[in-house]
Amino acid sequence: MPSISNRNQSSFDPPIGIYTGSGASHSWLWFVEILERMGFYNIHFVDDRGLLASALDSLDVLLMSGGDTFAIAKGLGTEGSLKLRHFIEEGGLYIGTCAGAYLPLRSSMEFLNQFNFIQAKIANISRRLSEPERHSFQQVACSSYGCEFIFHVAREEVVVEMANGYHANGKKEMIAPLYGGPSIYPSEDIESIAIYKGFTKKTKFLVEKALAQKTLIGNIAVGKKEMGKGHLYIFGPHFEHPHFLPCNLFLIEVIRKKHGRRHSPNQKDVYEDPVKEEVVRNYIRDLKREVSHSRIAASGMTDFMGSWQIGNKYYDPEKIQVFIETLWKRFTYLESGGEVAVDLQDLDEMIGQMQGITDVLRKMKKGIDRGEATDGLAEGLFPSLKKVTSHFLTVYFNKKRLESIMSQA
Amino acid sequence: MEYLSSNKIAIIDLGASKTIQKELDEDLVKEKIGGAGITTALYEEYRDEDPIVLGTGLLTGTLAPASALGMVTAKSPVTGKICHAPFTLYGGVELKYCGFDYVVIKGSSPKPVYLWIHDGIADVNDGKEIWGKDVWISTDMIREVMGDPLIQILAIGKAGESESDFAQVCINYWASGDRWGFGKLFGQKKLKLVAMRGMSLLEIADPEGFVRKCKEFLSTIKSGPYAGKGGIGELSAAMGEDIRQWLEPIIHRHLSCFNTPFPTNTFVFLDEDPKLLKETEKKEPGFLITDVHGLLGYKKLGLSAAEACDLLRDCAKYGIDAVAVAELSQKAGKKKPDEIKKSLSGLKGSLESVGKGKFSPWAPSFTLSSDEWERRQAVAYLFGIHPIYALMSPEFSEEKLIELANLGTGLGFTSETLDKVIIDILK
Repeated sequence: MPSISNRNQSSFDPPIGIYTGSGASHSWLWFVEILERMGFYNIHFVDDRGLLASALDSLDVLLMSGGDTFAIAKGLGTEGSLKLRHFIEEGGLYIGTCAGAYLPLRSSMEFLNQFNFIQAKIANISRRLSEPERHSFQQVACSSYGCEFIFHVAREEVVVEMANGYHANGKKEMIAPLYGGPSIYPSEDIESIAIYKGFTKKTKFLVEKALAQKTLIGNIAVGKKEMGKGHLYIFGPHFEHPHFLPCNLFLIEVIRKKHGRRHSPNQKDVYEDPVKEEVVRNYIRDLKREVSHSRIAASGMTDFMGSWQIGNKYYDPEKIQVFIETLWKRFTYLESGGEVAVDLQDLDEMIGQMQGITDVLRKMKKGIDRGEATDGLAEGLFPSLKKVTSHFLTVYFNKKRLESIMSQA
Repeated sequence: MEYLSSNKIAIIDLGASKTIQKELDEDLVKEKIGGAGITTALYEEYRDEDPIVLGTGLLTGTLAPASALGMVTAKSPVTGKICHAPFTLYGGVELKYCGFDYVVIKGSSPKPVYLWIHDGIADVNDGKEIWGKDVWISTDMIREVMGDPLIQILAIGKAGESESDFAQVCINYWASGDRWGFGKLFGQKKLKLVAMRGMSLLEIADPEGFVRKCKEFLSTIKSGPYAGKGGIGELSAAMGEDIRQWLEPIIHRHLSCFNTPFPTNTFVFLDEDPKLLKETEKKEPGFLITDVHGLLGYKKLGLSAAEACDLLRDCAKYGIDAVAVAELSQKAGKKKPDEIKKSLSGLKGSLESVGKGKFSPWAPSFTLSSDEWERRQAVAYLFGIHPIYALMSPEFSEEKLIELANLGTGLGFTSETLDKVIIDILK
């Protein structure tokens, strides 16, 4: 896998929020990966409750990745849409990929209709289909959208072409990963940055190629809209997927071009009362023990071929491991010593959360072995995984930021 | 130690229920290579605290052919000498990847405990729920509690708990190469089992060169005299005691240990039709034969293959060395399976088939002289090569193993280093 790294840019470290609340799946972790590689450490994790409170006030950028668009809209509600609108109009940068791209597009559906920030039409919605085409879809290729449904014509790789003078590192074309994101009809309300151009050998067609072409080719894959002092960028494909370097670089460039909104990040919390190394090390060890237990229990489920439906999304056991490995691979750094600005109560809470996750995973494994349904357990598991992962990454990036600031000083 | 290593040694004090970690000193590796070289050094370092040392060879868990070996080093209650017992299947590789190259278990616990070694963490856990249970139930319980059927377990049964001289440390459900009564040591320490699971990675000094050589050596080995063969029956034939026809009716399949080109284990069906190809409905329909000597011992008593394997299964559940049971039954004139089963509890007597040296006689001598056998075993136990397979593949020579060790670690081992270490560990 190609790697990206640009530590020299760490002096520019705007406060970036990553949405992890209701409806978010696991793809927000991809944002974490690429931001860290590019030396962005001022990263904050925002769930729906945080967003409805004041989390957006201290951010320059909000990243909204994939998941269940309806659940996101429902979780944020009218108040959330107003907060988001205010954030953008006051100079914030909103970047939405996949579900995060559907969210601000025009919709008449309850909850979603609160977020009609962009008046462009979705091309991959069933009302655009003929009757025989509507019936040709399997469940895997569509998701409910009120009386209509969103259909997906292709997955994995697609080719996108930059438009309107935009380019990515001098290139006009790039390969991007598509996992259910929107295809958008050209509209005066949105500037086209990239259009769907074609397919590759790795494209997985979910319908006949002709319908895939009709639905995607020539439509907007990446678009931009100004709102007040700020901007929205929406990406049909997952430009944040860490295996697609040119896409990552383009996305990072969008963030880099964003000038500071209103404020500098509040770094006071980083300097406050660094807890003694030894005490923290013991806590981190206890946390590592629990993460290892979850890791092992999750690996015990890898033979399970099924998946769990939560809301409108399907989750398989591999997604559990994505969360746990995100934590696991960062322990070496946390164990490496140095100051960690963290409330011990937070660490204690994380340990408790991980114990809960391990218990659920072990119950799921037993249930699977006995042929029992485990959907209820899975439904509780993923929110817990998101919560503990965000807590953990907050501690991790605090330490990274502190070290970065001290090294620059 | 940067390469082919977790760079950690766990020192577990059962008396205090505490674990500390030490780094694996690269100088120690340069001097002792690995495996039995280092387990012996660690035994000597903690000798006063009656240690049991678990370890892996330098190449264990790598792409090196047959790199399946883990070992227990301790003072044998049977011989009174410092000896090494092998554990294979996936036990060695799991120890290698669970975050520790070596584990020193010292002292005794006042109450039953088990060790849970996972991802670089070694925990001493309460073992009261599993104490008193047989090896199979204990293995099932730990795997179920932890939620992973891939956990590898070194366990004792009731033989170890009652401190029988013939108690064996079993690997998962099956017999190991412990012919030294190490199960008794576990029992004395109130240590019911060691459970291991880890998903760490190993760094290799010259990864491309290492992989290239491994592939090259593997293709050489695959064209050797054992190519296309497998199973316990073939081993017996190579030992001059051919039991292939006798065993054939109940064979279901043969099974290799980690990355080992020759399957040294044979699975027999006892409670199902061995010709069954579909998934069996029974939880455990048979037994995995991992020790040819135990099987031969029961055959000499005149038992059928099914009766012999049924007894092997009982021995494994009870955690007792089947070779000792067979020999003592012969001496006592017991030839009926029920009689033998009843004798497992409280089995006493002296054995003639005791290993004379440092390495378990689990690996057959085939046609080698005792000196040749011992040197080849020493090499296997240093580098982590399956001890039986090491004897079967002389083409996987000392020079080739040194070459792989150097590609893997960049440390510059020589045949002089190897000679010196072998002399040391055979003392």
